[in-house]
Amino acid sequence: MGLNRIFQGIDISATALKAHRKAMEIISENIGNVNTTRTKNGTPYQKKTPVYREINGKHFADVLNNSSLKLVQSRNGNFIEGNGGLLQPVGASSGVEVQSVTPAKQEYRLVYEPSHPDADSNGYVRFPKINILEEMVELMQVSRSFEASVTAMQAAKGMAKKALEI
Amino acid sequence: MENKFIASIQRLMDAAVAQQGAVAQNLANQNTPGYRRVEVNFDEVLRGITGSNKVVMEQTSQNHRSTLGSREATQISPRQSSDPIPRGKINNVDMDAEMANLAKTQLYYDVLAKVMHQRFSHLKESITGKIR
Repeated sequence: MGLNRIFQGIDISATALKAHRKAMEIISENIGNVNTTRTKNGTPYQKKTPVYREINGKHFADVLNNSSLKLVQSRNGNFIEGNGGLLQPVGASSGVEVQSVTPAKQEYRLVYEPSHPDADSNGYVRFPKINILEEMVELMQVSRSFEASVTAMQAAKGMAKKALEI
Repeated sequence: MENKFIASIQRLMDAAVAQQGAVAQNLANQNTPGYRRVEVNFDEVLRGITGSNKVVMEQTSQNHRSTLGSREATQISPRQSSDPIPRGKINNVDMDAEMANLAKTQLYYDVLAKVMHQRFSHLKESITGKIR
């Protein structure tokens, strides 16, 4: 059982690495599109925000309990559904995920540039309101979080290796 | 006696692994708004071990309640801590505390693995009569 649990720790850290990489992609996209005045649907680029959510682990036992199929205990040694045996959930939840969210209310930076093809009738061009410095700070935060999860993963690896020395 | 010792160490190692998982979970969710940190209650684990020293009653019917000793078979899983979320923070994960916890858990696990190894080499010595 021990090693399984160690691998669970690695799995949790892996979801964190994936989530932080995705957050980094979202921020890079924001930085890359700082001057984009026209996207596919004709509007200026809209700033995206990475939103973190905890993943709630769904367990085999839960799935079984919710399905129409029920197990019958025909023998004393059979696993008990839900509250014992191997069907017991390993942990309440596992990991984190990132969603990219576009805020409903978008703000734009108006720049007077009448010769620009995307300028309105008054000669103003709408640029996305993205603060490069803010994005950079967020990028640093994400990369620190990423490193923390790498450390946690290394700890799990080290523990698994130590157990092999017994 | 021998079995109990090894079982106790094993139980503590399981607890350390569960704690490592909890720390990984907390670190993964350090940016999640409204997240509450999880932790393993070592007191409870230790109480489970000492509890198993009591008289174990035999279960002659499957409807009998299990004695404390059988608590060893249950899995250790992290629980949500009741710490409040500090004002102005999005969750109650303290990065420094988690990193410290991670280091502690790792060292603790190493010590337990060493003790276990030691016990096994002593056993081997008494079986073979050879001292390395």
